[in-house]
Amino acid sequence: MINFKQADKIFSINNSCKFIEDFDGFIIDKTDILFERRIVEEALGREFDSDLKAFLAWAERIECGEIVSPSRFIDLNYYQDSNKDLNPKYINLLIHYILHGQYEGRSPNKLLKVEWICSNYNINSTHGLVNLCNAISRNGPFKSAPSLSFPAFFDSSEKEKNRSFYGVIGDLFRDKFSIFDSESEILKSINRISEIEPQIKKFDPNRSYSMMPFNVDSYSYLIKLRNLIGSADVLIFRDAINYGGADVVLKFLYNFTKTNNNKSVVRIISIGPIDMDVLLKHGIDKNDVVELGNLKIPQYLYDDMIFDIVIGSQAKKVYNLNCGPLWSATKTYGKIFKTKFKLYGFMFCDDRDKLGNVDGYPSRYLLTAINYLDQIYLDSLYLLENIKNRSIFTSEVQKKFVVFNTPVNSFELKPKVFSNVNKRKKICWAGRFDRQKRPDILIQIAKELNECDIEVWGSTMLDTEDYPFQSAKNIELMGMFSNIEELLVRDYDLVLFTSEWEGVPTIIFEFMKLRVPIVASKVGGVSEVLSGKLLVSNFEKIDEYVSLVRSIFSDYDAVLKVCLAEYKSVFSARTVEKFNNIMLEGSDL
Amino acid sequence: VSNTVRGIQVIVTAHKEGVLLYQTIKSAEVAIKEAYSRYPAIEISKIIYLDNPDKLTLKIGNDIAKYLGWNVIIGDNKDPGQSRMKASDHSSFAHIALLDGDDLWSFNWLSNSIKVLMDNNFNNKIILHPEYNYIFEGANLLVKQGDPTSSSFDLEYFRFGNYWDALSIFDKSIFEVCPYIKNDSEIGLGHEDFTWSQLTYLNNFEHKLVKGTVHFKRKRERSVSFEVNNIKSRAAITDFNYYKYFK
Repeated sequence: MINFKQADKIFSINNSCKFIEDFDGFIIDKTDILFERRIVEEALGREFDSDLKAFLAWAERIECGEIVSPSRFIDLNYYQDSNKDLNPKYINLLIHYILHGQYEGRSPNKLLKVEWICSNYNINSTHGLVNLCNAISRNGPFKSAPSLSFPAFFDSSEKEKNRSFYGVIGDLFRDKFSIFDSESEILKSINRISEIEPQIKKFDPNRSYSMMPFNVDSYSYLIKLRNLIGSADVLIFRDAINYGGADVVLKFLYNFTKTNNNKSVVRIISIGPIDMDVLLKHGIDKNDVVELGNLKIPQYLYDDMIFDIVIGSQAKKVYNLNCGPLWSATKTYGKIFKTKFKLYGFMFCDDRDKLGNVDGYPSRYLLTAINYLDQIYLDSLYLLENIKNRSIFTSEVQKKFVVFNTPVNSFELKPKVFSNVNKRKKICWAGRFDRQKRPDILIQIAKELNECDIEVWGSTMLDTEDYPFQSAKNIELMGMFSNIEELLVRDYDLVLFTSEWEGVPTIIFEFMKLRVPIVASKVGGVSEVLSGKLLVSNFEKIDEYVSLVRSIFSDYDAVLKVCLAEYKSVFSARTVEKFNNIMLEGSDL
Repeated sequence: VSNTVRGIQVIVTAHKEGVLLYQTIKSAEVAIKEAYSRYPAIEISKIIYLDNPDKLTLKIGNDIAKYLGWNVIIGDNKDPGQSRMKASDHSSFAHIALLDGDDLWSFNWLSNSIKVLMDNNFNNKIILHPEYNYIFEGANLLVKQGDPTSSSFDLEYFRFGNYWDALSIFDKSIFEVCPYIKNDSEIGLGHEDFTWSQLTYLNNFEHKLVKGTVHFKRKRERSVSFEVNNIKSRAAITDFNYYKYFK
């Protein structure tokens, strides 16, 4: 039986909306969850001047054995049908749901599948109202059942505000009520068709319900893209924006597109996080950059997300600057892309999987995507040769391959002046603490070269492995560097580079600015920019690195002279003008 | 109003549905019987259009013609949209009611639709859709269709999904303004009904839901629509795909 204490509990949930405030206090702060006077008034055919009076009238009907659902959230007919252990003659179903049912994972209506929500969103609680509150406070779209999708409700536009989660789900409940009215034509239709096609069952607890437009996930997740991106003339796609080599190219590509397409709208689309310091360093206007990560779009929708952006924005030129989701979408929708805009791709080097097999964008996508690309820019002859070995390309396709040189900002390579020739030699190593860069090899080299000090710049970015730098006493960890000036003042004598695989690493050009010899593993396109004499042919041969370093220090001035001459020649071959000319040729195709 | 004779041409299109066609025709016969009982003055004519059918589907089509009085027409379009248009050329009436050879109508689809047509004086600008689609066999889902009069109706949905499939009732003269675009996997073009929904909306044809009606859509693993989905075709690009349309 209902008493005032129980009524108070219901109203305390409704009126204070404590649960809601706990999760941010917006959207339904004035909306009832368990008891809606309007719904009760409709059901009882009477109007009341207070919630309490409506509640008491409703309670009276309940005590008379009627089943009257008191809100859009809880469907007592459904609750009774799906919980045969509850006898409404002895148990008030609403009170049961509040006190017990929600904690036991029982669903208050057909459209809120508690167990599904818990597993899908990794929520530990089976508490029904908590799940609802999670849904409302969630900074992104939320599905209350596998068949239902809801839009992102937290958009600032009035349209989205008016279409609150609860409003939408409420509409669905009301629709459902009309479907399951015993006089409903829909129910009659289902019943009659089951006589022809028994696969359609009269009574089916597993039947799901949905309502357009909320029946497809892409609508719920991607609806915000239009406001975020808008129309654009040129799009440049990146996986993320950080201190990587592709982001150096981004800087030059962005400048080229801005200057070459006067008054055109250029948008850089980053799928993942953006390091704002990098934008600042590269002079990229943050208003031209869109980060999609905040939308929390699930990966299975990425192809559709890219499709919506490139078609929706009506871009005339789209640049894929090493962006996996755009490569994937090109594989899927390339036939359509080809008819709508010019598509340019950049690829840098093959990657490796955890077992050391060749992996990465060139191996995964290029052979399919090449048909849909207008040009494919590679930063090394090495990668071009690798790709050519993988297939037979017609002369028409071969014309699409262009090897470009990443520009190097002008830098005066003054001869280095040594302050103290008798000091301990100081070596620099800089890069990500990831498997590709082989910090483990550096540690072994350091242990052998105990007559030198080695300063290590960088941090873990892609992998999670810990490297025992402390096991080499002559290694000092320096943290990340954002500017070459930080390294210049350290007065290094030599740079070590130990990567297992590379294209043409742009960090090499930064190292050149240190005006010291660079001892590097001879991998990928490294030999296209560094003298063969200072390269280690087997990247894992510790002895070779050590003996090369020692021989350099035994004849340092002569080696340095040759190195500086080489660096000058590299710098003069890598100008912005040359890069722009290559891009211009491509864009004029 | 494009035709003085009030009637509905029922058109069932099929190609390799085999025995499933029996159930489709059965549901159509039930709907036709219901419509006659409520609106005896409205004539209803019946066509099965077989597009490049397999032997079994052809035999079943011929049996249905022989025993149930359906007019069988055989074509070779290998495209559902083109088949529907070709079939409509044989229509006795302006208004056609389309049904795919493996789907089913609710008993009241024709009768409730005739009521709406009569209320609108058989207006040749309206296109009728069921209130719900029930997806069965490969799914178990009841979906309320897009209702242009609902507050939830959002044209931006057309960037992602189709509000209405081809199983509708309308005046065939609409094909003169908005013909089905042929599916073409070579250029990644499919979902002819999706494109048709968009183009008809853009051309100011009025899409209406018929209250209380359901279409039962069989989701099979092998069908033309499945193959189109599998190769990731998209509907043709229309104004609805462009962000600037919604500004």
